[in-house]
Amino acid sequence: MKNTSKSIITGALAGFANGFFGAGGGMFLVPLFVRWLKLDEKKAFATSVAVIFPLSAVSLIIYYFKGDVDIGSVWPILLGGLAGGIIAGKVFCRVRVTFLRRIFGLLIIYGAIKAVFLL
Amino acid sequence: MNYIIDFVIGLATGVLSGFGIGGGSLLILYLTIFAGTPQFAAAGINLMYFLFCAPSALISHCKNKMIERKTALICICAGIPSSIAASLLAAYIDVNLLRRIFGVFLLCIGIKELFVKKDGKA
Repeated sequence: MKNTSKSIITGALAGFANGFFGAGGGMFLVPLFVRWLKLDEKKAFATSVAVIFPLSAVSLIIYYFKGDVDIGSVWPILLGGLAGGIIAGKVFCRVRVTFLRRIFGLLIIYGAIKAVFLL
Repeated sequence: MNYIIDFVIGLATGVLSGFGIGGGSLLILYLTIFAGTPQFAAAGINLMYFLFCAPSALISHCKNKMIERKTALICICAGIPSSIAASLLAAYIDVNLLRRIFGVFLLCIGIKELFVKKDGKA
């Protein structure tokens, strides 16, 4: 399969996951980028952010009108995200992501079990 | 005090999101488990939060020449229609069912991440 076709399938899958869950598109993109499209791992992470950004913006329009996103109460989270993004950009090239991913895996499994059983 | 906790959570997940490691999923879990936010609303908050978090990280990624522009562009074009379809689907599905499906999805991802190989292959 050509790389263009692979990219189309990858993008469509990531868009679906990101739109359905309101998150997680990157977790589809990165493995597909690395294994299927043979991107360098660091580039795969950075490129996933570039793809998810516009897709999240599109999904947000629907979430905003269908849900009740109350901006008034979430501004500390938004500000935290802003600061976190700046830090991430500055240190990205110097950080080894394997360790972070293990911690992330543990946290996510804990949360996933709570979500499955609606705890 | 809650504001400070929220800010710190936003900051920590923001760093992960900027790396592309899935900070958004953690933020949704925090909102649903500890703040009692319904699944769909939490997802909406996360999407908004990502719009705050991503631009500064993206500027750095661009400067560092870390973004494969052509691949990104194709993925974006292909992803927009499926994003819209999936968002509408999520809006009409039962919130608790949505949360359970999210949990199953994360369980798969979490187990995979835990056993990531040393060379970093995803």
